[in-house]
Amino acid sequence: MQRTALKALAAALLATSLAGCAGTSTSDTAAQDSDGALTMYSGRNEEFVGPLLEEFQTQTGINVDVRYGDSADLAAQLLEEGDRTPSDLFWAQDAGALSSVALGGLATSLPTDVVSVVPAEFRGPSEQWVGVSGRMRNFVYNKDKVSTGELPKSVTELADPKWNGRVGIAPTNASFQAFVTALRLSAGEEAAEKWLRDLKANGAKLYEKNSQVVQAVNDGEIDLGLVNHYYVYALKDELGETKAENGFFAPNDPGSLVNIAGVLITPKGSKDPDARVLLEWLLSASTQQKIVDQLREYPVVASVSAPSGLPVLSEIPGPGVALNDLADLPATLQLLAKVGLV
Amino acid sequence: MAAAVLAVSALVAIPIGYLIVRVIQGGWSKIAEIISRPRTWELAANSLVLSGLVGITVLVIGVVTGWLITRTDLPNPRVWLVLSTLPLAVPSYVIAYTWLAVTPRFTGFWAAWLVLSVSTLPYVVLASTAVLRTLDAAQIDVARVMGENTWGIFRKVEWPHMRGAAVAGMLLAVLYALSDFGAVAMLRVDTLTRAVYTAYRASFDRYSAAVLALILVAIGLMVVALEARTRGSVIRARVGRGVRRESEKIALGRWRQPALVLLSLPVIVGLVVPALVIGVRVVLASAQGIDYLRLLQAALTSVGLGVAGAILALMFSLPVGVAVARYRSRVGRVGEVIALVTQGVPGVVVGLSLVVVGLTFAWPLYQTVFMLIFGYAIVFMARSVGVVRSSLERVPPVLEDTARTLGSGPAAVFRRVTLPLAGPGVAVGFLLVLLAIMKELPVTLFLRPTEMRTLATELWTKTEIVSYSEAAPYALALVLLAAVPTYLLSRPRKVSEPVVA
Repeated sequence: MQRTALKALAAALLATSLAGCAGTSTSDTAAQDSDGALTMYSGRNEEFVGPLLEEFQTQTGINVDVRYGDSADLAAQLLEEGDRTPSDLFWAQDAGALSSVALGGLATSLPTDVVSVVPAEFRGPSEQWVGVSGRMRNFVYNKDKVSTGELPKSVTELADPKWNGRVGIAPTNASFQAFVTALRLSAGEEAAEKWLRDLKANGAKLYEKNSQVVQAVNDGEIDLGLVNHYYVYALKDELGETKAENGFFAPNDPGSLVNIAGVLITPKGSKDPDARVLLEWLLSASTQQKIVDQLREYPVVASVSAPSGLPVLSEIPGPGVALNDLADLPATLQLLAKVGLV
Repeated sequence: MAAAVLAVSALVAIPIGYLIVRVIQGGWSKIAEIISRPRTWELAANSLVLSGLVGITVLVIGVVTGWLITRTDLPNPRVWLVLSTLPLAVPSYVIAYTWLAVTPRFTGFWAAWLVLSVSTLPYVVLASTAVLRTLDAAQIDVARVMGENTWGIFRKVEWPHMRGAAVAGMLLAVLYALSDFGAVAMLRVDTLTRAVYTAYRASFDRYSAAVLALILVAIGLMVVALEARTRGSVIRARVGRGVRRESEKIALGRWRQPALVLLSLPVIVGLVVPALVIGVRVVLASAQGIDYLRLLQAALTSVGLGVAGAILALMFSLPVGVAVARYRSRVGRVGEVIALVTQGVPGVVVGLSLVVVGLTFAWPLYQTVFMLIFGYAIVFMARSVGVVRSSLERVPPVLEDTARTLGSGPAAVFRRVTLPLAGPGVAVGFLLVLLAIMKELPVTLFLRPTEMRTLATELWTKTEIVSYSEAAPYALALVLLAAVPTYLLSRPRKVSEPVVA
């Protein structure tokens, strides 16, 4: 207890001094009973969001203690902690993790005036969570092995014998499962099951993570893999040149699902005005622009445009599945287990 | 002391207790649903076959390795012992990862079998060499005079002595294989442990995860029960007269080459290749610049946590070890069994159970370093309690009885006789726990103070995304630091065996 108090005191001192130096005024409410410190659980990797949050700290003087972990593990930890959670906010990798925490009663309704800049389809029911950035399901292909004319228009083509043994997927990955949910909801249960069975029979190779799929495509182990749009950039950053390139399915294809990473505020955080400041900051045009530039993810506000080289979000309507419906994950898992993919 | 034994036994029961509560909360329909799924039993069979094969492999190769190192004229036996022990310093997920970097085709059941076998083999090698080193030549000479050949001596003299220790080492290997997630997931093998993680991570379903994990507990119990049956009633303490001496070495002759090949293979798979791959990546990373301060902080944190956790684990182990070895304590034995079975439970379950218990009973300590160290001690006590107990069993009770008749009280006897005699065992227990903590990830992620970084958490952060070369310096630091306790483990210990005249 003593330690916590000391830490809070130190953080408060630091915050006041920083705020003094910077001479920036945060929102009015923050001045009232802000302690200048926040605890955030982040299912997003430190490499991605760490620099962003550091900027937030220098700009606002609000100290953010971040606990990094796997989104689902942190969701489970939050649910076990209940009201005693030390966290004020939870930044999760996907809507599923946010929904599970909301269902457990640990998400509060976000201030409407703050989140209204985000389209309704990227917000949770009763504004219990809000998307901060978007990512699109797509494919990566090895440019030495797949000609541009050969690129698939629809994800359903990958069950074709022509792709036998050439495709890689990460079936235990949350974004792949979100895509299967979208497929189930848009094409129907039977069609989804048939496609999964055909894909498996077609010698699809299974990986644990999207990053491994991209790596395998680059190494030539497989020719094409189903992933999210930003993985190939991370590999290009590391290696410079890559054989793996991004490809996109046609608009309206279930393979072009747009999913979000988003935040929620816990009951503890709802009492701390600093949480609101951080939320506002994340959804501000300048931060959204940083998300586009640094993370190469899609912005969730209309005033900021998509990363260059990527299809504009409005041109990729996706399969027309609401993010909230993606919470129907247990049925997807049953299906994946039934066809023997997880 | 009875109170201490009871308290420790209750503490180690936390993770399994949590599982039982969650399973009950999930209700019978959930249990029925999962048990009726053929997939569940397929996964259970996979887990059982994988861990069983790993166990058999490490038992056979480990015993042969220990025998070759101690009983034959193998060149440089000390060097071979150190080399055979060092794969213990490389986390299994790092071995898996580096092999994947060598060839992406290194996946599937046999890849997992290989990785888990080489990373747990040292447990049996260490146990076998420790026993064979202290074996009295007189027994072997008697057998030889009676006309036994090398095989006969092994079967009738050496094996009965080393059986307990070797099988205990195998037990740790089997339980490790049951609970491993990192390597198994990377090599894409479907096991129950992987299904437990999937249940949490994909469906946020704590109840299904608990049912699956409880099946793992049942398998673990079965394995521990089998191990207990192999513990015979052999008198482990030497009570003969005269000075203990070493036996003559067996000439390998034309078997020398095959023996060297057998010893080299696990070292190549578990140490040389991972070290080479990491080395290359470190060179790549140093071109990009390494944040040395951050690396140093993480390294110091890992070591500090490891030492503190190992000390606490020993404090838990001592009363239980003494109670079981000296007083045949039922409660102590139950505590030991629970601690062992917990080794087979996936880390995510153990971590969450400690979250719940920490919040409920020790709220101010939650997410402090104290809670984390406490968690480590509970999770890894099993590694030290076994060695503490077996080293006590090798100390003849006669010595303690004698001290008592000479007028010392029980506390004084423990302090002046038992503890010094069990010293080497205690040291081994300390090193084993230290190593385990430095490599641990899931419990650390759940219980660490927010913003605390260890080498293992940094390694996790870097490999979650594709910055593999950035991860390499952390992998290297982890392996180098872990090599220190590993090396100490492989050093010949002072022969503590007393001579009773």
